[in-house]
Amino acid sequence: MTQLDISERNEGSRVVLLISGPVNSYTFTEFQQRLERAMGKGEVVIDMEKVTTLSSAGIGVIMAALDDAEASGAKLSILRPSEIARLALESTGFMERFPVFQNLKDLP
Amino acid sequence: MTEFGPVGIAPTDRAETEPGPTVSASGEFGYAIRRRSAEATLKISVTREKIFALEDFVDSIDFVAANERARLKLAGSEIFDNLVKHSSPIEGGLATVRVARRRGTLFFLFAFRSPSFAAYAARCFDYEPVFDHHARRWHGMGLRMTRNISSSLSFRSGTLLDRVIIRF
Repeated sequence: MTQLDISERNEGSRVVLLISGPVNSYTFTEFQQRLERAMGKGEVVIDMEKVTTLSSAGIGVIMAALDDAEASGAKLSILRPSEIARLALESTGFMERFPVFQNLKDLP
Repeated sequence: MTEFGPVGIAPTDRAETEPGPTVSASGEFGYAIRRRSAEATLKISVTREKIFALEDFVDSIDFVAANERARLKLAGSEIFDNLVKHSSPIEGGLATVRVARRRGTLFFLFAFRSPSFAAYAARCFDYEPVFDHHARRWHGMGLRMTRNISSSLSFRSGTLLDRVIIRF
C-alpha cells in the first residue's frame, strides 16, 4: 500500500505543503486536515510534484479551500503538479479555477 | 463495436490462443492478476481501502503508455469509488476489473452484480458538482472527470452482470 506523505515547510511568509503519494478516496481526509490546518497559518502553496494520483475527492478539497481563500482574501496556489495531477485538474473542466505555477518565484 | 465477452471467458477476437502466466498477487491485497499480451484482469473486493490494490494493478500493466496509464488510474479510481459508495451491496463483495486493448482501443471494464446498480446507472449522469457542507468539499465531479479523459463511458445493468465500460 502506498501511503500519502505530507510535509510542511515555511518559505518566507508562505506555508508550503509537499504532497507525496496518492490523493485518493482513502487518503483525501488526511490531505484535507493538513490543508485546512495550513490555511489557518496564512498563504498556502500545495506542491504537487510528487503526487501519484489525484481523485475527485482530493480536487473537491482543493476547490473548497480555494472558495475559502477567495472569501477571506487569503492565497492558495498549486505548485508544479505532476503529470497525473495536472491531467486530473484539467479533466474537471475547471482548470481556470486552479492557480497553478511551475516555480515558487512565479507566485504573485 | 468491439465488446467484452462474459467475464472469465476469452473474447473470440483475441490474437493469442494460450493464456499467459497467472500471477498470484500479494495476499495482503487478496487479488490475482491474469495476464495475456494485451489484457490484464483483477478480482478485487469492492471496499474503500482496496483503492490501493486497483492503483497497483494499473501500475503493473505493461502494455499501456504512460499517458494511458494516467488516464486508466484516474478513471478507474473514480469508477471504483462510485461502486463503493453507490452500488452496495455487491454480490460476493467482488468485482472483476479488466484492462484490454482490442483493435487499437483501450478498454477498462468493471463487472459485478448489484441490485442497486440499475437505479444508480439511471440517474448518475444527472449529477452536477455540489458543495457538501458536512464534508466541507465539493462532490459530483468523478464521472465528469472520467468522461473528459475517455472517449466513452457506459453503464450497463444486466440480468447476469452489471458493467461499467470505459473506452480510451
